[in-house]
Amino acid sequence: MYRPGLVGERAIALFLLAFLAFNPPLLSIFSADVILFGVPLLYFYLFCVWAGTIALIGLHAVSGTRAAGEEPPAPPGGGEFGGP
Amino acid sequence: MLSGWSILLTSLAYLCLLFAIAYYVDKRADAGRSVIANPYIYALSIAVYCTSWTFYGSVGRAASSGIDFLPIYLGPTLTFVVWWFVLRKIIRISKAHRITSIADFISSRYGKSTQLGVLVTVIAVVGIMPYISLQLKAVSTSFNVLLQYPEVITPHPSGRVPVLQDTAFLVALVMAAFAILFGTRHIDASEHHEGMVAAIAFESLVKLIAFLAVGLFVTFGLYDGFADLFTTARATPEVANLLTLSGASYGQWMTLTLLSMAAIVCLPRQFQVTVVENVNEAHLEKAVWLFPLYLLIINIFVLPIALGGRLAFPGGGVDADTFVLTLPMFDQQEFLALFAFIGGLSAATGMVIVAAIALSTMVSNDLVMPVLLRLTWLRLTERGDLTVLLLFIRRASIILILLLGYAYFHLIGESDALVTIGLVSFAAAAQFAPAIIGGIFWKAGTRRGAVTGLSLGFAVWAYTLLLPSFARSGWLPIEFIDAGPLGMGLLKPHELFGLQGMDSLSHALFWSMLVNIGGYVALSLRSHQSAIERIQAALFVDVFRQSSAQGGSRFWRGSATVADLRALIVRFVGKSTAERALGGYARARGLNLAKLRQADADLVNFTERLLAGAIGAASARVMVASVAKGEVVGIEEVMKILEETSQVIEYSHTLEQKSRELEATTAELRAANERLKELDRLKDDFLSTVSHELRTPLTSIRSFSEILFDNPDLDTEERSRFLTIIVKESERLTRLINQILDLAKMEAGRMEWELDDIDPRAVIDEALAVSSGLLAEKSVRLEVKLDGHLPRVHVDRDRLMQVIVNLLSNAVKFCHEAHGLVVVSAETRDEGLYVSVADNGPGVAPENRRMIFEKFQQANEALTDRPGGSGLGLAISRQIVEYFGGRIWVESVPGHGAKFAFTIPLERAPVAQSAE
Repeated sequence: MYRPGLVGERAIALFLLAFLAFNPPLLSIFSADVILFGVPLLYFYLFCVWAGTIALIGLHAVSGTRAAGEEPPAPPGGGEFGGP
Repeated sequence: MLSGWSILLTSLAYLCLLFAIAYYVDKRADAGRSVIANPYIYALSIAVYCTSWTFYGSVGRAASSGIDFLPIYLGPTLTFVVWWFVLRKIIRISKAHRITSIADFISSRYGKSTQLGVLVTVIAVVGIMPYISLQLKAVSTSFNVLLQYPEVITPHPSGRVPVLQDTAFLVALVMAAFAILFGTRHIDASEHHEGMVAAIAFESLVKLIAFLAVGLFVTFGLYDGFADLFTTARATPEVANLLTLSGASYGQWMTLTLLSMAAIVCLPRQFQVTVVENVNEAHLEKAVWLFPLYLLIINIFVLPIALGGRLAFPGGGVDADTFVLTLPMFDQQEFLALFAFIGGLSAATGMVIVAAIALSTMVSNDLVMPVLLRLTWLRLTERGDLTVLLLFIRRASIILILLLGYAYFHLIGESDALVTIGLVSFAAAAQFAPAIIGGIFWKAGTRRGAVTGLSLGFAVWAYTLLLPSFARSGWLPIEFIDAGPLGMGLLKPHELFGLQGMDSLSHALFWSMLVNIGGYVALSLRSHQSAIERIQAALFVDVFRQSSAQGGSRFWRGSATVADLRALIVRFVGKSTAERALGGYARARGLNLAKLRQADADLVNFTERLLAGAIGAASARVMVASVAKGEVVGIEEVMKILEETSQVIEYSHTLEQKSRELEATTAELRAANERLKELDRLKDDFLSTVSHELRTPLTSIRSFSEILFDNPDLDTEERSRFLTIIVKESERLTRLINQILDLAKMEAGRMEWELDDIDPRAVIDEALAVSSGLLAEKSVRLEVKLDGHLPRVHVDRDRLMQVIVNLLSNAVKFCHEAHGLVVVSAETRDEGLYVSVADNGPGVAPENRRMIFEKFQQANEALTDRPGGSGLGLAISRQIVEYFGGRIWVESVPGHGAKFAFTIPLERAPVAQSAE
């Protein structure tokens, strides 16, 4: 299960991971003259890692906010303006 | 089909559709049924990040250097990964403080500083200028390209066209009109532009679909899917290198990633849509992955289109920035070309409208209003309705901003590629990052630090990126870049201080961030925060620890009348909004404002926040200050606000105190232990000394007795001499034992004292009489000097005599061998009765003067026989005198005798005898 502190920790871990995965030296390894599924290897790698990162953000964002048990404050305006 | 008129009409129809959407949504919002309050629209509105740069420029970039276009979209993804720390916090803060722009945010954080607001606004306006010009250039170029149909060429900028016939100028005017229509129809206290957001979201959808349509057409129409396209590209030597990393440098890749990470938060328009226009924090949860997903999808076909363009126009006669348009034209796809043009128009208008609104808000709230409010001769603070003025300022600044964008385009931007122009703006926006990130995580960041960092960073940015662009366009001599200003090689804008081997963008980012972050941190550490800075810092950094109900800073303590505040609000936000806001406030707190005269601090704060929404935090403070007569809070109250901190401090104080108490107790215990050990050692000493003292006379008694016992035939004379010694030694033994008992009794406090008022003269006389034998024995001369009248003292007679006898026998013992002289004197002094006994012996060395009053201590340790002395006499005397409340001491000049003296007070206060 999630703890509130874990949301932040996972975000940082994911950030570091993604930052490293998009690092030029690593990319140069994939920068080969190879076509994979009809797509150059480098592009295949980049878009896959990118998609993976996005999926993980989505996964953590949803379960994370709930676990934090923190209801975001109601949008201002409604309360103070007392009407439309 | 693609005549000038049809293109224009289609464009206008599209823009009208946008406006219709915006109008409809605004109406719905006014009716309280918000259309945009969902995360999908929110995510799409953030996609305003994708401008003409993405739509046309990315393809151009990819066509020349391959993968290099991508970091601009990976950066925002990375920032959104840590949304929990950064975006969520900025949004929470902005909601609590009614932040209206990035200038407002930074100036609020650093003590609502007008100066900072102005600085940020200037940087933003100057920095975004190239970005706006990029959009104008893209729209006018794409229009001109489309006009050439069925020819597929890039018309060259044909010299200087008259401004009024320049497509870009007309585009600028149309966009200004739209921005005014969308953004400044009325002044909204919360600065939400729901209609605009809806239109932007719609545009994001249009540009995405248009781009995907072109991409699909190129990939699956011109070619037979990805595999076919890439295989063809691989087989073509000129474009094969675009498929690998060969074109991109490591440094530039990192630079672009970092820049775009900062830009997604720091660009004024991104701040506007992501933070200011956010209606519900919960929408972030979905948007944080939807927006990166949007970026991913729109980038899938960038490379295929770029490759298709390079393969279709091998000669390079067509500008790669227009491939999105020219490829459909190349294949006679008129509708697709028009759709692509509309997509590009969407991308451009979206950016321009949001940027213009964001910048105009900043210009009016943080630049013009503070200046106007400070011009006292305008008497603006006393004028009536100011909403008209505010709207005028905003509309004028929108027109001005777009004209400036056009001027930049006209004068400079025509030669550069789209992405190159845009990156200059990114670098400018990135200058805000240290002040923002530092501001929300680091309480110690100060106003002076932020001002210094921003100014330095902006100056270096202008020197290394903006001025060179002037030079490239011929407005400055080109030697400025090649040789440095006035030929100073160290100041070459692309090789500042000899830093070589970096591309100009990385170079500029390195230097500007070095001075920006360096200045910010250094000055923050060196300067002190004012009270309001400290409050704001705590409110920003600890935003999650405060309940949302008290978001505002409680800076105002003083009072204002409700009528004044009401008038103030009406003037800036209009009557109906003001009444609604105040009504809501009163209902929420169960107040009847009509009956209230004096407003409390809460209402003053509420007013300030409300005004902050309309005219910015710094101006709002000036306005509220004009009606609120209270003084601002002192440092004590600041401390109260920083409750968290002060509690921790208090706690640590308690801990420190506890620990100090503990230390003190430990020290006491240790001292007591030392004392006990000392006493134990003293007791041992005492015992060993006593046994030694007792053994000496015993030994002599025993040896003489044995002699008598063993030699019965000793002559009478000898026998009587030995017996005399035995008797004397026995006496000495008895005396010693008596003295030890006395001392022990006295020290234990069990001595029985018979106190009485006595005449000291009689006691002294008697003591002299007792001691006369001793004196005569040693043939010591005696002098007695007694005052005529000696006062009576309250003492134990026998004990007093014991003291005097002790001193006398002591004096006799140590006085001159041959010409012994003892002087006894007594007189009345301030201290009371003074008695002294002096001898003319060797005297007492200074270091021994205290010691000789201790038990068994004699000045001359070498004196082993200790004639007649037990070593207890002076110790006993001291005990007695101190019991009487007096003191005893010795005065002596070594070699000239010693004088023992004691005093006894006349009015004796009973002194408790210590148990030593």
